[in-house]
Amino acid sequence: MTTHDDWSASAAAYALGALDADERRGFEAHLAECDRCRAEVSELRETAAQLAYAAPAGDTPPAHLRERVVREAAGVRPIGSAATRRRAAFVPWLAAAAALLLAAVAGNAWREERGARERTLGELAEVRQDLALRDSTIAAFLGPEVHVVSLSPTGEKPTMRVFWNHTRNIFIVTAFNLPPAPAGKTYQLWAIRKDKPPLSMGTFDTDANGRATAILTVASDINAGGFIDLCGLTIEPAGGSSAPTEQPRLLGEWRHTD
Amino acid sequence: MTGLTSTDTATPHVQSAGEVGARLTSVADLYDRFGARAYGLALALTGDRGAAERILAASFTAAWQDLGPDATSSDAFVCLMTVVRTNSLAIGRTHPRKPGWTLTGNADRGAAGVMRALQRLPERQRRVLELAYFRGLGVAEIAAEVREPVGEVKAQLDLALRSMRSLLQARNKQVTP
Repeated sequence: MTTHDDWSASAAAYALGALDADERRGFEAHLAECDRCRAEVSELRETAAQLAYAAPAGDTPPAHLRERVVREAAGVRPIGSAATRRRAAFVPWLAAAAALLLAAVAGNAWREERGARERTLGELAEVRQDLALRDSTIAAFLGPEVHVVSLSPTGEKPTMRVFWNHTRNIFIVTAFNLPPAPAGKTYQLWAIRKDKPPLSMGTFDTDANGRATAILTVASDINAGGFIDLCGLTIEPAGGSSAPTEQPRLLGEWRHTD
Repeated sequence: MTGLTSTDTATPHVQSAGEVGARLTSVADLYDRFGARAYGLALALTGDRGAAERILAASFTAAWQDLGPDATSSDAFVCLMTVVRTNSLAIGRTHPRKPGWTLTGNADRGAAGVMRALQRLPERQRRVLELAYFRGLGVAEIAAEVREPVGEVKAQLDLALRSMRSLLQARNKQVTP
């Protein structure tokens, strides 16, 4: 296992989005385990954002832009609001931005060169999705009101952590060295309370390297129940089950404050 | 939610005086606070007014979806500028454009402090930071541009951002009673 000191030197490059894909994934794997690096990246992102002030003033925005911004955002329901708690799982917020932006770009100035542009935009969409998930994940890791459960109490492989971002009403799931579920099956997480039936937290899959980073919306029945004692992982038929069909393969206890 | 151990990583925000602590009330509020700066950034990175407008519309929508009402002004600033930069650089990669400008800053509150902090960085650090932030280059691309090893580029980026943070914090202490 790599240490904080091994990775700390990459924190600034990561905060600026300057790491290549392989190193970024490695850093994120470390980030899930290292409170110090998460704090550092959070600080460095704040500082990087200040560089927006170094761009030249340019023109003032056109007067109609304010109205357009307000109009286009009017139909959006903030992820953290109660009204959206039952939204489908996996909500990479920047992916939404990417999709909106692609629609806007494709519909406007470059319409005339559609064929070539669409190919380019298709590639761009993949890049953006990648960026989107990264930014979404890191932002959620670093947000206020984040609590964590580790599903590898002994520290042995595989390792999993689940972050509960209360502000955004999401779980961020990170897994390493967790082999992909068999064909037709998926991993499913369960919120377990004493003397209560387990509640589904959502499903996710790992890649060929056994890694996963997933964002799951916290369902209202989980929120309504208050404190969760344990978090368990099972393998279920694709699409997930309404109740676990096996004993948990991994189990973790949410950390108590007292 | 009580009963769980917090790993809250909230840190003191580096923010210009007068913007700390206030909470958002609406998208219009978000726009009124940061619209001009966001537009300036998008325009600087793309060089295209139409693209800057589209980027702003999409970015405010995404940021508002993520932030919602009651987000702090500091969080909103970081989120919005991150989204605007990401989207602007993505457009910039389709329409490559070398910036025809130098870092002169702008009249926004906070600009003078950021420019002063940048100017106090050693030339090597400022150069790699500009290539990373404003041109969106990766460490390997920066290494090729400045003819230094990748490890050195990462070290310079690290020093640059940490120095910027210290300088801005020192300035905030001076201007914030």
